[in-house]
Amino acid sequence: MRKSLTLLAAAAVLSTTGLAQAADYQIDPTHTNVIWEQIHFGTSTNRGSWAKKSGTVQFDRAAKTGKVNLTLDMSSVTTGVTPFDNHLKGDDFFAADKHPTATFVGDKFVFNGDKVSEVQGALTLRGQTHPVTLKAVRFNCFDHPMLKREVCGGDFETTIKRSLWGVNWGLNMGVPDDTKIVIQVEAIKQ
Amino acid sequence: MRKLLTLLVPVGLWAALPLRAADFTLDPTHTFATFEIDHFGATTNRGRFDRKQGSVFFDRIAGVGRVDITIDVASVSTGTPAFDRQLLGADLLDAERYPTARFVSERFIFQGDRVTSVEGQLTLRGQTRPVSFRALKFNCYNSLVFKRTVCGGEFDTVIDRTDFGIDYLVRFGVARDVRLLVQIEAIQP
Repeated sequence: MRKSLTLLAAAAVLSTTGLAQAADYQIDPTHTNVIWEQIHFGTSTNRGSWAKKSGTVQFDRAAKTGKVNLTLDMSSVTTGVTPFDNHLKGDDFFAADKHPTATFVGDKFVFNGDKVSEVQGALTLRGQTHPVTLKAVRFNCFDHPMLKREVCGGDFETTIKRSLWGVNWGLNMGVPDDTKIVIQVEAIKQ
Repeated sequence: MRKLLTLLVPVGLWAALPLRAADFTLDPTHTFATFEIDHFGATTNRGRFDRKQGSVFFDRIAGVGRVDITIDVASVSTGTPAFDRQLLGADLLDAERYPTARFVSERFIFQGDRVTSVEGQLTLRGQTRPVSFRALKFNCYNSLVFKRTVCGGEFDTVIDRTDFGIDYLVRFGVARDVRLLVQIEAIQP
């Protein structure tokens, strides 16, 4: 009896220590944020983020594979300046009426050891889809003490040329094309 | 004549308007403070303070400046209302008792005509400590919107939140270092 308990315990330990099988994770919207940054007249940095986002992650640390699907509600953009938010939602930028969401689908997870170092995928914005690679600034998995579940997440960033997606406003006046995207993402194991 | 005008336009755009010692007006649409704090060694939690007011005196030629900025603590915006409420509670920023945070400096450090750091006093949760903001970027430009010279930059510093009495969960390993990232622009009269 003792022996079978020991075996059971060993099996339980094995199953929780990362010979981890593929698992579904749910994006934690309270620790997931997408921020855009753009240089303002070579002087300071304008920033905005999207308050409403949702998504799913499949992640297999042992097989070093994963897939992420993250959707932003474009009309939830917030810069702290209401007229600026309204301008961004309009046809000059996101055309949120016609294209209410932006979606990133990442289906190639690149690993450095057991940590994700980049996610390659495609960003759909304003109805157009182009490849984008997110570089991990850091990545970690931890056992969440309150949720009693594993949470994996990281800080990621990339710089896109917004004109690729047809967001051209101000380019002819010197407003930059390069837009840095700064991403916090955490997902809870289901 | 047309050629002459074409030539004049770029010159007119970028020829420096006379810089002079002056009280600048803070541009609240391009002035924000954001905090960043670690979350379980995995990601960075961020929040932005939306309401602020202040004054800036700036003399680029003499290499002196003064700034006094007050932030409405209750205007914090993380994108998660529950997190906002937690931040404003007695455990953290205690916004009811300490509704404002303030940064005052009379010491701008220059390298040539660029500000490289701003040293002053930060008051947070009723406690005042010396803080030095490093300039990540600094520049002055002629604004077509305001028809004025605008100076500004991007500044950051890292504070230990326990220096300001914000100890919540530090003994359980939650980060004490908080990065403050500041965008600021101010308009010359």
